[in-house]
Amino acid sequence: MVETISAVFEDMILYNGKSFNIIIFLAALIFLWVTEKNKSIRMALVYLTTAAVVIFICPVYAGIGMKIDQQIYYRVFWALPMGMIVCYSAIKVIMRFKTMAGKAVVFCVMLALLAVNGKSVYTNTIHFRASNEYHLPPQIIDIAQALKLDKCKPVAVLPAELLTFFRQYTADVYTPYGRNLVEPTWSYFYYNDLYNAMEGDPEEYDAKKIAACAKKEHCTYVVLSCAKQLKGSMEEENYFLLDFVQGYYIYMDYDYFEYYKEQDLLDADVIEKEKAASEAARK
Amino acid sequence: MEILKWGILMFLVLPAPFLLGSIPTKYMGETKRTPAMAYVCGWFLSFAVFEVVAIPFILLKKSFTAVVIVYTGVIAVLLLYSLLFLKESIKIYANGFKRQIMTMPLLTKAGWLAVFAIIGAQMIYAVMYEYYDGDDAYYIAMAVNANVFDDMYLRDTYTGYSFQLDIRHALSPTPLYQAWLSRLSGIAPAAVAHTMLAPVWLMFMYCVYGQIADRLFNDEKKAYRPMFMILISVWMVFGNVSMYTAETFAMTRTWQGKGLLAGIVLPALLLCFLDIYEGNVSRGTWMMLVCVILSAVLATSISFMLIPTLVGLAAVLICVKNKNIKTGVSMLVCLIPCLVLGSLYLMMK
Repeated sequence: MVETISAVFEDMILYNGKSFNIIIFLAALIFLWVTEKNKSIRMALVYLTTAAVVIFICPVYAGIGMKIDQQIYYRVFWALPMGMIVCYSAIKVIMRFKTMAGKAVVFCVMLALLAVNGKSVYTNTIHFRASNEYHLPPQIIDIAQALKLDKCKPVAVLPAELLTFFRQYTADVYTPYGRNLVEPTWSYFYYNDLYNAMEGDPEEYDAKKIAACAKKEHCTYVVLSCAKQLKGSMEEENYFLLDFVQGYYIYMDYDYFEYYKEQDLLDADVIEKEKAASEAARK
Repeated sequence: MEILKWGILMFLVLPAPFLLGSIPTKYMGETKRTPAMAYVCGWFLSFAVFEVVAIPFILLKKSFTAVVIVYTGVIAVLLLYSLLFLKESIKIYANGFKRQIMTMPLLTKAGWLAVFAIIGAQMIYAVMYEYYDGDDAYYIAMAVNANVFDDMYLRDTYTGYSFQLDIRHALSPTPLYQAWLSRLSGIAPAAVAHTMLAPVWLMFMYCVYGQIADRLFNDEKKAYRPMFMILISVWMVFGNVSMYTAETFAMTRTWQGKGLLAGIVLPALLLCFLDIYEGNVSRGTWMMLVCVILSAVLATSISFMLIPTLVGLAAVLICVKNKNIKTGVSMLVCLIPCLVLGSLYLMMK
């Protein structure tokens, strides 16, 4: 029971961050307990919220909630109308001032208090100027277009930095793994040789190792970042350079190229690019 | 062609909910029949209908196209039905608007202009700036999968390969709702979520708060509504005190089910309680409560725990404090769909 209560308070502290939000909320709630006369508002904002606070920190309820999923128990605090109670109380304080000037000054003080106590969602989180309607990094769109085949859905292995975004744009290309391996807290549960070959060394790719693992995972394409060195050559592993898109090399496995060609599954531009690549290799 | 696609999407997120909302508001008191309340009710009605339509298809592993056909049909019928009393609704909205404008002091009008400017700025920011959230790798990819493979929750969203039914998420199909918007408009799910729903659902959220302001400050206190709205919008913007707050989710992940629950559905539930506690509960309010409860389930699976707790507490309070057993029991009856889906979730998990 003690463990559950301390876990709830830990959640509360994490939820509150370094702000005074919970203290302000509790002060506003007490203020409403004393001053609110309207019956329906008193029921919804005062009694219901107080009852919800008591229930959410009750060890029995919290114990059940945490048994279902301890990681997300903090979400019960979303049900406490903190903003509504604080802002409503602030207006009730403002109402007590008789003159317009007094009301205006208190309103401005309240605004300043909220701003100083909180952290702006626009400056405290990372926002970028959107470069497309999808709100995705532009290289994702170009790489997805380069990998897509009209008549079949190939498998492509991608560098970790692309994995979170790639499938938001397209499902026309399978990937051997995704965000589940990138998230540090989740990757604990997963292991993948190909991921290890791609991301194990932050400075360098090992062509031999990557090619061996990619073939096991039935990858048609291997996409490599130009920011990392390549030990060995993908061409020696029976791949050809299909394209270079926004800092990423796209290699295609010759075995799949031949197979797709036989089955008439290749787009014309892929055949053209292979021709150019093999001519360049001959020269 | 692109303009037509965006035009269809705009219709689905702006006039369509507004028209649908005139169905529940028709059964509310005249003071509550406002355009904002209609817009709010319309969204909740469309979410609730989607939840009821989609769940059997998901559990029976039917195609996404089947959901699209049935849901579009139901929504089309509801839209046609709402047109029957559109004229009457518009007349009531116009009369209410005229009355408000005529009696509103100049300073209050200026206050409302400031509110609209703040909300407008937030909406423009949501379109112009992107925020990368890792969970989109699941939610938006799920919508993309549904459109491409025509199945629902039967694939690993991180790879695209077939998988067993993902029951943890399947009963809360917000991504499929977005896939429906995408299928009908032809706009990609990522663009639907990030460029359209992010600003539109922000507006929707402030419409809910606007209705709450309406209930908190009635009659002679009306002038304080814009002040309350400005304070709320500042509270929301400066609510990023940690990554866990409702405000963080509502402002940065507006389009995700979690953001929908934290920012819109839970305040709307409180709005329902305010109306119920006021007494003389209209049929429209009961319809709204059922729709809000189902919308919570559509948003995220934590609702299976949170919503029965809140509605249960609210019902007990009305029984104890107001000695109004009938209303309390009616509130619990509204919970039945959530309890049925919750039981299903526990059985299949």
